[in-house]
Amino acid sequence: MIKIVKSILLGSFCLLCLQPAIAKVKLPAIVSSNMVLQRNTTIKLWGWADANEKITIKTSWLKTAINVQADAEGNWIVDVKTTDSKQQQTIAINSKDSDIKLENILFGEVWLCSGQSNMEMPMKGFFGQPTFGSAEAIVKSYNPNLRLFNVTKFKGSKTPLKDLEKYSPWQQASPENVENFSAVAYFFGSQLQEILDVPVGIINTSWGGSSVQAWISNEVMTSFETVTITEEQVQKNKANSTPTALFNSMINPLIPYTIKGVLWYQGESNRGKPEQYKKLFPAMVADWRKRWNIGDFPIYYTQIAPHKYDGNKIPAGKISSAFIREAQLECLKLIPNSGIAITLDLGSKESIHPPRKKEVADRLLYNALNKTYNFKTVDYLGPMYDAMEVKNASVTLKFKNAENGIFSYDEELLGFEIAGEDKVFYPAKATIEARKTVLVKSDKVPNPVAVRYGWDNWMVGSLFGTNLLPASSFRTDNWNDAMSTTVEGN
Amino acid sequence: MKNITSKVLTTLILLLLQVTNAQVKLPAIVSSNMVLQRNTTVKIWGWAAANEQITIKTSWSKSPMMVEATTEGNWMVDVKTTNSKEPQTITIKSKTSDIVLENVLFGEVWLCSGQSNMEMSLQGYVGQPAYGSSDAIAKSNNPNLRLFNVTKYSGSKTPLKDVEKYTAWQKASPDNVSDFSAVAYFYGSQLQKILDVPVGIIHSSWSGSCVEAWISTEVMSTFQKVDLKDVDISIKPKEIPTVLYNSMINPLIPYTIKGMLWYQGESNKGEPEKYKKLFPAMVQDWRNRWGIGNFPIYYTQIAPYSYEGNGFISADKNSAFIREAQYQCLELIPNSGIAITLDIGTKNFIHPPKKKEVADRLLYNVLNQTYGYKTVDYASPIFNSLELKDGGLNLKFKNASNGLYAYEPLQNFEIAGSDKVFYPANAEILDRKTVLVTSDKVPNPVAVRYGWDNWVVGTLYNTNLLPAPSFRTDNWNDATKSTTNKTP
Repeated sequence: MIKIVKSILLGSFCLLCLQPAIAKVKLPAIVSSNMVLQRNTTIKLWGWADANEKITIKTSWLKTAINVQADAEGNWIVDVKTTDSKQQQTIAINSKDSDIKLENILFGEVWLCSGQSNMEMPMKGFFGQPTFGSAEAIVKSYNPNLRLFNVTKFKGSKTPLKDLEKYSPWQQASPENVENFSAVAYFFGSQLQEILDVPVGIINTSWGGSSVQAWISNEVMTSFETVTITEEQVQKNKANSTPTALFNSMINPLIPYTIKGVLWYQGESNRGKPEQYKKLFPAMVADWRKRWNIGDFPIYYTQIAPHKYDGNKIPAGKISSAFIREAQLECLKLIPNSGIAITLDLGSKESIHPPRKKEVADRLLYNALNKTYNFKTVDYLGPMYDAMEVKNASVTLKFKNAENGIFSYDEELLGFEIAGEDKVFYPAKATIEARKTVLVKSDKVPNPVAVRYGWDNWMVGSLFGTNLLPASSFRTDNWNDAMSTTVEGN
Repeated sequence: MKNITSKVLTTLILLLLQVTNAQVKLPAIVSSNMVLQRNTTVKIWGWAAANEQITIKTSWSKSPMMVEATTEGNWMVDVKTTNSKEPQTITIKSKTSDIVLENVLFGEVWLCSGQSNMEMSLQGYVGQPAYGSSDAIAKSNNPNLRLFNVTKYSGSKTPLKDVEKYTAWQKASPDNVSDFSAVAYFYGSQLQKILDVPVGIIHSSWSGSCVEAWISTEVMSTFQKVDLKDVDISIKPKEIPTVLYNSMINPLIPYTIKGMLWYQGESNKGEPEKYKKLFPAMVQDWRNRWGIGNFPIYYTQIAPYSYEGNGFISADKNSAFIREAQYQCLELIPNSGIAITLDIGTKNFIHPPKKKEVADRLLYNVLNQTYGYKTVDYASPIFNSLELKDGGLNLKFKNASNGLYAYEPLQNFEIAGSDKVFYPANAEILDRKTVLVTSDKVPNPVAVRYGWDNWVVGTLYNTNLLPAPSFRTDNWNDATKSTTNKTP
């Protein structure tokens, strides 16, 4: 209780400091020395000052100074053109009582990374849950052209905040800060920096266990449900499952800092309601895009990986995580300018946090390289189920995105089931035919009508494209009343 | 009919190129963005009108060179290169021509040739990946790595002066490396990084080609009669002697190279004894024609693959014999090296996905033997001698001064007595140095075979983690296998 009161006081104090009464020009946390500004575009700089205060902004790359006057509430914002210079830049912000100098600014590619624990998971891992490859990556992480900004998992808010309450400011990537930074975000950013050979800025704002509802604004969330939240619900132990709470405290303060795009790794906390997720997640993306107001910036997101959860062979009436994976895949069509990283081969049975974060980052990166940066020979799509044909008691599956064939590391494909009209699925034998299609059969099912692949909580994906990107779990049916059996055929 | 058309076309092109064309013409391999072998004297050549005077100015030498075309319109000059890392230009002028070659680099030039395993691109064949290629493609931008690809287009009955179809010299980038030879790319990009000098890779290979296709008529004729008069070379040129030499190698000569990589042999696996003659003859042939001495050749032993199945004892059906022949070529070809791949085959694909490992092992040969990196090991453990020990045979190895290693228990050893019947055997590494091979079925052993089948996974390495090739301690042609499948 004392803690809560203290932090409320602290919060109010900060807000007071920030906005109404101060004479000095104040900047949001995200606008600071060492930041990366999106290159080759027009970005926003903003802040607060006295009402009607006159502010002059001089940049090292523009000849003329920019003058702006704060409005009656003390808010000011300016448009600033950036270039593709790789030189360090400075910005001087002056008013009657202020003389702020921002130094060591770079122009580059800015990506926002958000989601729940698998995005949050730092290079050093969670307790007893490693991030593979992190020791070497940390040791070699020093890079003045990669800048990291981390929004601290501090608390939620009932109303949209203007500035962050707690954060690690922009800094150059180095072993000291990388080990506590999001592994997916770091592996993505460091490789993007190397490949594009331009500065890269990564903003991480994520919270373990958070539901998608927590990341949606009040305006949009209320179109789905009534939102009434208490102060208790935005405290640290509850904020991640409180609708709008994290949007308010961890996203709103970053808007309108110009970004190139967003990476998103979330969905475990919404796995019980896949149909709802198909509405909420696209709504969240539209919400953010509308508020940023820089067009439909790309969002590349990760399909959640297999994990045992409540066990396999979920009884009828309960929903396995295969359904949320399906919902996530279907969101591709619902969200313009989006891409997905499939991780069916990367899960871990006992931990919800797969250690192979580099592979996740790689697959997000391939999306970004091909679709955002026009690297047309970098494949980003795994095979996707397209059509089926029943012949001689077996089913032949065809795939999209498999012009160059499909592949399996082992001879036999695993995780296939087959059913007849009785909707009872039996484990099936599946083999790749002519390097292009998959033949599925079971002598328990002489007249098959449907096939499912990887349709369970825990499994290991075995079907890949020749580009070694895995197929998502999929089903050829849309039954809600199917049964699954472990009875194997001969 | 088609044939006639293409003959007419070829003749026409040749006419345009040589006789009637007043403009100076260069071979495809001499162009902007090329890499010239550094620190040596390279050839630059081309064609012009008969007796035409040509002036060649380079950005790195003060005085221009003058050369006069022959009465046939051929011209060629020697040009000294340096070890500068700066982009250079070459200007070639005649009465009617003014050619500028730009962004030329001095560096290390390697020619890569062979059949499908050399040809296989980073994006792989249908359903057959090249591991690590996504990452490699994404990170391939490198202005100091230049690639030239001879297109698999057609063979020729006579040696061509220029390549008919090709992808010109260009900087490595995601746009072009995904279609480029995986072995050649993995090799070149690492060599570039390690030496920190520009590297140029010329790739010229044809899937399914036999070694005979890559040998000149003059040399091939010493082995067999070469008469292609009535042969339709538009069908499977890969199987026709001399035709790929003519269309895909001759046009590259005498572009100065440092050395070559070769990955071929699957198409000759039925005739290992013949391969031991033809392959060294091919190398000698190319070296004679290049005229730059015995440049190094590093080649890959073909990898295990199921082919027609396991259990064959004879040389025409058991690819262990061609692997043996390839290894024996090391002694027949001066200045050569071999990459062993007994551990990285694939049972169901003739195209192993581990191309990076192949490139690594070729690279280790090159680094040690060509560039003087004496601490980079390149040699696999090689069977040397055997002695009776504890009722079995104890095998000693060369290139194992730092010991032997196995990730898992040794497999694929067989042992025979004087009846020449091979039984599956137990094998274990003794004192980290020798391999003791035993079987209860063979109380008086005299010979051992290792990995002597089409499909095996190599298990024996030395401490530098290079695999031993399959080998036999005998030279029997009349050995048999026991019907026993399991070691007792």
